[in-house]
Amino acid sequence: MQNDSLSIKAKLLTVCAMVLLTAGVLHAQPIKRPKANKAQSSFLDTQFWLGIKFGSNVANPITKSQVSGFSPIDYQSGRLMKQYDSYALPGAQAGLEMTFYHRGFSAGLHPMFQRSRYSFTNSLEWTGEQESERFATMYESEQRVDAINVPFFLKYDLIQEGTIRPFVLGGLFYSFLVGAERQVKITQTDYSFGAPQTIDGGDLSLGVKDAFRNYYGWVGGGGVSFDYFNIRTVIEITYNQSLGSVTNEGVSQNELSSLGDLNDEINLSHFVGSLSFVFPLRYIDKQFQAY
Amino acid sequence: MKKILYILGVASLLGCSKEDDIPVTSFARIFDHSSYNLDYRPLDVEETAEGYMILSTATLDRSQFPGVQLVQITEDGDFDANYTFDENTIAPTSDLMRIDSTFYFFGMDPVSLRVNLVSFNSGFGNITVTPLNADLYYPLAATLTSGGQFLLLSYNPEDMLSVLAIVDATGSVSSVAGYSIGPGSDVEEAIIDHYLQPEEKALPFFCGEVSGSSYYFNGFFNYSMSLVFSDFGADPTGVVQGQFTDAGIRSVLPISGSTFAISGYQFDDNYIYPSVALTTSGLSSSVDLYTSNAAEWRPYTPVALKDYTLNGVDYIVYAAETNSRQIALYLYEKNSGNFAGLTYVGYANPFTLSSMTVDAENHLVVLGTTFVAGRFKRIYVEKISEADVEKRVFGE
Repeated sequence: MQNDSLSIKAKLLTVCAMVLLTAGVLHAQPIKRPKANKAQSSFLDTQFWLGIKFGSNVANPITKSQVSGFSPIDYQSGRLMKQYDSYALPGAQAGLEMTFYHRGFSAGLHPMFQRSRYSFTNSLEWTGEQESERFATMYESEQRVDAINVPFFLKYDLIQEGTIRPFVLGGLFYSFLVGAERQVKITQTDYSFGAPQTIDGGDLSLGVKDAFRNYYGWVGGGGVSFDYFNIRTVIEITYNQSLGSVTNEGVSQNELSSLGDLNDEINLSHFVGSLSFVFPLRYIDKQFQAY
Repeated sequence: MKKILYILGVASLLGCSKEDDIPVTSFARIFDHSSYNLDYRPLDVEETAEGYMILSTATLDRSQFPGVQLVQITEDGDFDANYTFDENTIAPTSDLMRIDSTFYFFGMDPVSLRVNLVSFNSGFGNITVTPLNADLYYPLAATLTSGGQFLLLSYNPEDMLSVLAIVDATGSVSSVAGYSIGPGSDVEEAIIDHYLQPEEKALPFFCGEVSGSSYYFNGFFNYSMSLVFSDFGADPTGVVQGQFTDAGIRSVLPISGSTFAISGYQFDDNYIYPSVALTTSGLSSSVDLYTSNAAEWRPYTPVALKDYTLNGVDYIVYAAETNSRQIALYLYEKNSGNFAGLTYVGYANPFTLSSMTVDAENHLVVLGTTFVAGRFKRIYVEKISEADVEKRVFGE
């Protein structure tokens, strides 16, 4: 009996390995559906799922207020406003999916390493009485924020039978800041040479972790699970938004303040697309055999 | 499910950091002006009830001497207001002083070359220019004494004297002592040049108080830039003699008795003594103090020295410009003279140092300039809280 059990485990492990290695190929293959039966139904009623999850995201920095390291003496501070790009730069995330399922409802913890990227520009200009007395500089900044994102999901399967199961989900997340880096490209336009000359003002790459903080927020979305073989493939699209600022206000990091750059108070939102491969942990017993 | 919630709870608690509880009071600001041709040369900063007051020079159309302007900023570092004096007040000393809510500095009348005492209140109210009631010319440096009066160093071109004087808040001069700068015209030329070309090897004119009846000034004496101790007698009580304009003392902070924290310069080299006994009675030479070069500091850098206490430990802060055009802040323990740590102000664009002060909330406030886009000289103020000093200097 024990040997049989070991044999079954060995077979299943082999199948799992094959699925992992050839998942992409298998999707194109004719599908051999396991027959639904009472035992399988019971098996699917309550289940733990564990697997890997990865994907891409686009971030939108939502500024509550803008601040600048420049304090203008003779012009309006509005000229110093940064122009943020929304959902422009792709980021990525990868991690684990741990989900407990019971009769249509799931609770999941999906810790992931997540890199968010967003960009902004700001510019300054100085003029004199002569046409040639004019100089402009533009700062193009790309901000990367790396975090261990720990979302807690509650998920409901809209269709609870079959191999294709659409679902909706919602939840909360907490993100532990791991690192932050800012790349600044400076472009200058000098009019003193007669005709405007565009000059490369250099690139700076700055570690700015101190300017950011851990953050938390809410998440909602939906997706579809595909059950083929002993692997569940989940395609998921979510929207999340931090409930507080992801930045530390007023932190005067020397490298930033020297350029007149200060962090705004930013709530960060993302559209996140993910693909998961999860495996059932509770499926080997006397009543149920996968195949 | 309980376990999951427990993990989330613990994770949330771990995510709360100490920093969340500390109010942020530090700032770093560049005070920009849209003019292509305008340059600022700030001199000193003092705390007001609502923020900070900056004394700065201004470029004048009809005079080679610098004019005067004031810039008022909020405690958060936002520009509040500015005021530019007319051309009847020029050549301010690098010292903005405050008695109660009134600010004072010394300037010069462009026609008579006599020293004026200028006073004003926050918001530029009650601006008063008072000619001193004594024949004092060419103001060089000033400071507030422990008795609530002003110590003024000036230059008498007629008799070629460095003149030390006590002036009260009404512009009344009570004590005067003059000491010969030495023969020849070289010294006078150097004094005039320090007004007209302040960026060129700036001469470190300053004055201060050792005790209630003993004062010092750094200025010309006997053909050299010297540190002169005086009790307002006919002769100095002591002199630390420099070498013309090529060597001398750059900054001084009395510690106790004849022990001082100083910095000095020897041609292009700089040196630091966080604790040194100076000859306050008798003659000595600054050349003998030189041991090794503070290689990070740029030649002829201005140096600001301030007392600063953090977590019950007394420090002396040296601020100076580096060869990489940053501002370095060195902290030395006051009692032992041991080096304690350092931090920097400035990055990428060049930075210059004007002065440094410690405000009532124990912020280090560093005043200087930065060249925005590498070319436009703008006032720069960095206010560093205790928490940020700890973090930046000691990594805590």
